[in-house]
Amino acid sequence: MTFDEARYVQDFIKKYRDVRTLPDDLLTRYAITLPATDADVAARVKAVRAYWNSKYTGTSTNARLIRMCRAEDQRLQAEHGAKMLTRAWWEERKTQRQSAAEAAVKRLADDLRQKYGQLGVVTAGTVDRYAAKLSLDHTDAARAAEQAGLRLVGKVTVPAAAPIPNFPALAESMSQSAARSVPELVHPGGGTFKLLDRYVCTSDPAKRLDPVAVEAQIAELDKHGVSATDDAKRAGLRILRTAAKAGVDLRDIALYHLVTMAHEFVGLSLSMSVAALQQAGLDAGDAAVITVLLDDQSFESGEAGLGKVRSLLESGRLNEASQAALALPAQLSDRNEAIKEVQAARERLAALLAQARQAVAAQDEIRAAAVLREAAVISGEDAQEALAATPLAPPVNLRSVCEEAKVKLFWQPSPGHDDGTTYVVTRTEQRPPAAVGDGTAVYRGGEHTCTDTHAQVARGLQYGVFALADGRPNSRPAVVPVTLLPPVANLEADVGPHEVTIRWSAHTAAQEVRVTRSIAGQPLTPMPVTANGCHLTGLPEGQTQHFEVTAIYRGLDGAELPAAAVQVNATPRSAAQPIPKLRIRPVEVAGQVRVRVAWTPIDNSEVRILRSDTPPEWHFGTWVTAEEMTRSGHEVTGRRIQGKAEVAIEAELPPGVHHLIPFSIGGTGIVTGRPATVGVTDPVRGLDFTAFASYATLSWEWPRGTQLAEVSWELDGEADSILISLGQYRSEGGARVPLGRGPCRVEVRAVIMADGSPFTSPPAAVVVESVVDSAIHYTISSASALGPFGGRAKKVVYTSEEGCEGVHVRMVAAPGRVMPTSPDNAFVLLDTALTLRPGVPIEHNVTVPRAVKRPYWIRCFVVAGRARLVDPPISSLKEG
Amino acid sequence: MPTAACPFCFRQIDTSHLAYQCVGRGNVECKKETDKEREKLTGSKLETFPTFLPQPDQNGSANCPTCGGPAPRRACPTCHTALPVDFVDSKSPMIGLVGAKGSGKTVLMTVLVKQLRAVVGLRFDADIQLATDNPDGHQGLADYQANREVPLYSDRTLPPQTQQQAVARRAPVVVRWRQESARRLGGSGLRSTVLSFVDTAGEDLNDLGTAFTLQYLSVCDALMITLDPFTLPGARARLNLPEQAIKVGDDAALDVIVRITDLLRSEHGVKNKRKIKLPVAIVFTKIDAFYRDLDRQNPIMAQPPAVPAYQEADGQAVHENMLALLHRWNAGNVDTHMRLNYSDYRYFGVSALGAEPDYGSGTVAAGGVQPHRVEDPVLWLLSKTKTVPSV
Repeated sequence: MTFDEARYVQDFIKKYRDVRTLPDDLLTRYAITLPATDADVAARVKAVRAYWNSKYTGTSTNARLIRMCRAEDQRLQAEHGAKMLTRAWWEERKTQRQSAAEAAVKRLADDLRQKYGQLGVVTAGTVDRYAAKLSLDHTDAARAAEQAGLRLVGKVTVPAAAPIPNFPALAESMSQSAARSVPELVHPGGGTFKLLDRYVCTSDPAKRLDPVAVEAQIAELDKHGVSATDDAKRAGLRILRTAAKAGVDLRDIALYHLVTMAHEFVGLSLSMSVAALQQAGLDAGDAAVITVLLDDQSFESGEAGLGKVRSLLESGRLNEASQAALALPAQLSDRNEAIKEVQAARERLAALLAQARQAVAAQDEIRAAAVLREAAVISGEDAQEALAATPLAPPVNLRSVCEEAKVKLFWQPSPGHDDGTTYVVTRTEQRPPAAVGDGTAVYRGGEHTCTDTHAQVARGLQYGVFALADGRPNSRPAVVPVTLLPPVANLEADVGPHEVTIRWSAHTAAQEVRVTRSIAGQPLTPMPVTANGCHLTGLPEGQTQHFEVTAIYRGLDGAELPAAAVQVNATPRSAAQPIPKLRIRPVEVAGQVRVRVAWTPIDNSEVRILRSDTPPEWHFGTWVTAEEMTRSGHEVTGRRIQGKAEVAIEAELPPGVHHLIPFSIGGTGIVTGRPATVGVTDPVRGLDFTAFASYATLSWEWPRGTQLAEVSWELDGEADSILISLGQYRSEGGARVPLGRGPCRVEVRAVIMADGSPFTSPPAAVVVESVVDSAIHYTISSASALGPFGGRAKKVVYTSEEGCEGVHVRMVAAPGRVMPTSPDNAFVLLDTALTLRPGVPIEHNVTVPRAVKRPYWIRCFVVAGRARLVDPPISSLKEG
Repeated sequence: MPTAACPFCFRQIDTSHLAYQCVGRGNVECKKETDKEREKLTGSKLETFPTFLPQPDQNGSANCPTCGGPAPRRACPTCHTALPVDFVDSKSPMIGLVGAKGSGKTVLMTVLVKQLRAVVGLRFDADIQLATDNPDGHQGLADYQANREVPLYSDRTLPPQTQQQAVARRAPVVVRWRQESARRLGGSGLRSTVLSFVDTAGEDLNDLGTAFTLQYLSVCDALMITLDPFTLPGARARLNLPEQAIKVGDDAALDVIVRITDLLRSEHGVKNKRKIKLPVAIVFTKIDAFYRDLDRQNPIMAQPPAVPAYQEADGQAVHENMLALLHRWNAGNVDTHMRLNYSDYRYFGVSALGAEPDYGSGTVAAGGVQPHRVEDPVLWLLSKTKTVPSV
């Protein structure tokens, strides 16, 4: 067996390099595995010794252990000599070792029972530490724990540091409100709970430890009157709510709170720690597990001393760490190191606190809060104190919108704002608000928007928004200046055949209202105004008039302040006549399917076409309001073609059936014309053909939703067409058109039915170049036969229904089983030019040479000329 | 003892002693459950009412022993699958459909079944319908159509490669062909024929020991072997095919036939000196790809005569032209093997889709499915059993 140095280092050297005395297990020390032969044992002992010899120098802990091994080896050699190189000696050691291990297991079980028996649990780490001291492996140690009646606690972790920076504030609130645990704070009177795996209230498993439960408890407290206890509870619950919104698990906070409680007892008595936790409501099992974990941790953190100081520093408890360091015995070598580390942390804390103060001075409250979060990692207590003196950041992105005589304000919360943040909005004139009580109070609450309905018109207003929160100074204001200038409202125009009247209402603070008018291409000109209106006469019918109406205000200094102009168009018109008929047809424009909608104009009214999927509810000539017209469907838009006798729109409509309604808009209102229905379908795509002997099969991609297609063609001067359904197309594998003497142009149109009428798409076209040649039928028969086989003399007869002229035909004989497909490489029996009169046969006699052995084929081919030969049945072509 | 092969599990069953299946109309509740025997033998997990065997001396109808209700439905006594109502009184030729991977069996079978129902039925004045609750493993006709026909015909999507039997056993598609027939003593009666098609994944043929395949081939009355001409180098050389269109190696076509020959010889006990008598249709699929290479007069390209019979002369012409085409493709060894091992075989050139699909995207050509001669092999095989006349 070969000595595995790496494994030896792993299994022995690293495991025992820190021990002060060598473990008793010689087999591990010498890397001996039994059973083994004498030779194997000797080789292994020698290899281990050689390894020791190569590694015993130096100051490392490994070298220290190896030196101890070498010294002990010399002693063993002196006592046992060459026996150490025999299998028997090592088997004896193994037996001794097993007996010793059994005794050690029993001793360990007794010790564990004594210390942890009352708790019923012990950590794996504790047991392993014991095992190492007694040179036992993990299996033996676990056996000892089992003998002691203890359950091994595996990988359970509890928070080592405060999950939130303001944990001290939470603990303070809980103390003031006499809440013994976080679950008790959230669910007062909830009773015993479990927490290690997840929060479970023993008496009511439906209870939860989450933001919803926190909110519910806050709401419950809000129903109560003011009391010191409830205020403290509220403060604690708000901290939990903020933490939960920041993504912190409330179970971690609850666990950490219990851990801090248990820490006070673990050093003194484990049973006292368990009792304290149970008193806080924790389940006995969880209390025992937390206690043994902390016991294990306190052991690992150096059994007090430097480890404890470091542990306190890591958990953000600088002041306690400082006290622990100073309390260390002066003779302890780690004391100076502990004080040094505390001092360094205090310096880092001071620097951070200074940075936070500088940020506040520079009005950068957000950075100040961020720096204090860093400081909380060093000392939560100091960071919390500094935060309490840092103002909140003001809200951001404050903007205003003037709407008639109201001012609406919108803002966003800054980092650090939460649901508990209150916003106060105040209004001042000519200067920004300085504090919450400065100016007119507009709003106070938690929303991020407010409306001021009492803002003065035409004044230089400034709005300030402050953020307020418990335990923090108020923020500076976010400020926005506003000058409210309400435009005219309810602007309307009435038209007659040659006149327009416009009306409006203006704010009472408006000094005057100005009206300007323009027509196409003309500049604006002022119009006379009478009270709240303006009346114009003598206007040409049908010419659109554009009006702009502006309210004018005056500032404190007398300066003119115009509001935003409001616009309206009006066209003088007489009463409208309904359109009696729409003419609709699909057209193709630049590859796109459009619908041309045309009508004959009957007056000067404006005509609009609206489309809907359902027939209109109005009869011809019904008067409707503008809203009713708009609601009736989508307006048909597109290229407008204006003629004297006809107006048309080329519009792009989606595929489907549409109902189009013409509306005439005149001086007295809107009147409905006669509706029309149109079906729109896309053209077929991918039109293709496959030519067969006497016909071609057409195929194409059907437009979605289309079930019919029209196929039309012109063949030898005669036009024909068929209507084919999608079902027929699928079962027949396409559409068939016959072939003629010349090329055939085929058009395919998709068809959609609307109101019983077919509407077709623009056509897709293809030209089938293949043509049908004259058919020449032929028969082959044996001139004389003997027995089952035909004779070698053959008679061939050619006939044609249509007749032919000068068609060069060759008749061949080809030996073999495979039918010839060309006249090449075969014996030529006949080579002739055929001229046939319709229906008149021509006969030829041939003889198959003896050289052509059976089986053989006889077949005719067209060598030149426009004709196609139709083979007789296979049986007459094949011989043998 | 009258026997027939169950069209679902392919076991020979005594047709005079079929099982009964409850329809759940008794006076106590009868639960639908997955039948373990059916699941084991056919792979179907469809829930059905209980299936039970009749008493030895029982004839006619039976009542369900669980709910006491009538059990008029007959079922296979071995696999417990409900049989078509006229199974007992009808001819039930089993037509196997086998072929190499990628030879287009699934598409062919889907199009064939649709073509039989929609076109051949009209041609023969016959009522041709699916006759199973579990066609091709689907939950009824609607499910079969939604998963097989709609994707191909409406969505123009090719089906994925058929899974090997070990992964998903293929349930057969059973079709009932019912039509009027003249009686000897005058008048007319109804005659039914039950056809069972199984789409066998090509990979299964590589494993001769697959019990399912053996069972299936052992009871076949006729066989359709689909061959993909794209696997023949001589044929492929005439085309400009994308890589995705070629799914197997060069010798796949002959390999498949040789494997099937070995299976048939062993399962049907055919001595080496004798030829296999089972009618075999050698179906070359995707023939549309060669339209450009064929003379327009070639019978392979022509539509079959629309007469209510199988036209022998047309079939022979196609056979000889396909044989000539095989030699043009340098694949004469296929015919040599067929001629020396089979006494009754015929070549067919068919196209289920009618036009080349987009192999990359797995999409049927824009014109949709345009079947060409897909029903010819079935009609020829049925003419062998006199189910359809031959002229």
